Amino acid sequence: MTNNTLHRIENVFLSNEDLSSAIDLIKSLHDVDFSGYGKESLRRRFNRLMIINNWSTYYELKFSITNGKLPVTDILSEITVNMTSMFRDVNFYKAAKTSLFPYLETFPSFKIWHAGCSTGEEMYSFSILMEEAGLLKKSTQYGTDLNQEALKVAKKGVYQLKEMASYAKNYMECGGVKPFSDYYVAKYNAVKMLSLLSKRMVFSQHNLVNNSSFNEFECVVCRNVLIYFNKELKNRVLKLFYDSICPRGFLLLGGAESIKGTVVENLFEVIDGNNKIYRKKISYE
Amino acid sequence: MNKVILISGSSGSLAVLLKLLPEIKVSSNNSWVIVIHRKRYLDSKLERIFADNCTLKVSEVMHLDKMELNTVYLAPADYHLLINEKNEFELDFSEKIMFSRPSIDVSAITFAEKFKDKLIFVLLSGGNSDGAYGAKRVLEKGGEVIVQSPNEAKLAIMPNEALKLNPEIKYILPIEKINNTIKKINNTIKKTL
Repeated sequence: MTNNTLHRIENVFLSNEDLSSAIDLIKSLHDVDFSGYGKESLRRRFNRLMIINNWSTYYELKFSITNGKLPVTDILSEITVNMTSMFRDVNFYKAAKTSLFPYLETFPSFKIWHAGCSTGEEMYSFSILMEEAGLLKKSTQYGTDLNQEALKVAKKGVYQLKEMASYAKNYMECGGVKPFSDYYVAKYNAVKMLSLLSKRMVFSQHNLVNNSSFNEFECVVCRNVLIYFNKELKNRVLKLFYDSICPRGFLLLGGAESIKGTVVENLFEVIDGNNKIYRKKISYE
Repeated sequence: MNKVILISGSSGSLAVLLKLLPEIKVSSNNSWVIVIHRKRYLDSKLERIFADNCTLKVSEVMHLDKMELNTVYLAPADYHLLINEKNEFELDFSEKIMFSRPSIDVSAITFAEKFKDKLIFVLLSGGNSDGAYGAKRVLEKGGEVIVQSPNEAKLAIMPNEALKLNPEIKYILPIEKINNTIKKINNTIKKTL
């Protein structure tokens, strides 16, 4: 999209009623519930969907959803934000290495859940750092997302070559010890991450809005997912994480997300407030 | 009359902000929001630098923080900053616009939609045209736009682009006049009410 079309995202204005009714429609037809999502970012996503498809009225949006002109996978791909990159926030990864890794080392095997893993860049970042710390062999990483198209990309581990320069820079800043290109094979405009990195990854569709916990983890990573949720849904999801983390296990959130003021505020210990690294307290109830 | 003052800029705007912030007084009873282009990755000390130079509380926005009076909010690096109907900030990590996240246009447009004539949008030095379109929407919704005088701005592209798109902008000001003008706009509105 050019800048001009991107600007129109702010232009096409769905009223509150239109937005609510689109949410209801998708819920009843496709059983996907966006009602707990933040209104304003969701409005921008719907505007974007309308621009891409050249619709100028809410009627056209409604028509396409109702008549199956727009497959549910397309709706999910466009409405959910799938932006992610490798080693995003160098400080976060550095902090994870110093606070989380020593804890993981104490286990013969451990499980990490990446909730809302999108196209998987973050999981590969973890794999690389864990490999260098000698932890990869003991790990199992579970990647879940609402969007199955994104999961397919994560599973393949194929990314655009042009992204690699900035990832390599981030990787070095995180204290990487090898040339970053040792971790992928490049061909034409794409790279494939080494299978060594993805061997211990498991992917599955999971909807944080209404699915429950499916295992117990030593660590849950959920970065830049909660920013799309309203207070109620954020609380629900944080409770779900609490129930999924073993005693003294870790919770890693995104830079602008916090457990402050939520139902789990007193259930976690703050390990690193800046980098949003939390640790589950032992409950004596 | 409580107003929301959105101050934006890019390259060259930091020095200006450090001149503007110390002059802000609690008595103004406004909410202040700063959306500037800044580098991600680096552990930013910007919140502390601003806090050291301002008598008001300075707070880098966390998702769903509620907008309060007499507080200076700083948009976090690498997120678009939006505001919802409950007066809570929403952060958005979708596509960059004009290579920028936070995008000044995105914030200006959603703020204009919500605060209408209660919004004052201040655009400072910068090296691209982000903010020009936002200024247009602020004016359309009845808000006021102040642009740093291009002669004085370290990079004049941002103020110039805004003026090119919106020749009707009344306030083209040097730094030292910006705070006073904000006060003046506040007072005129009090009188008309």
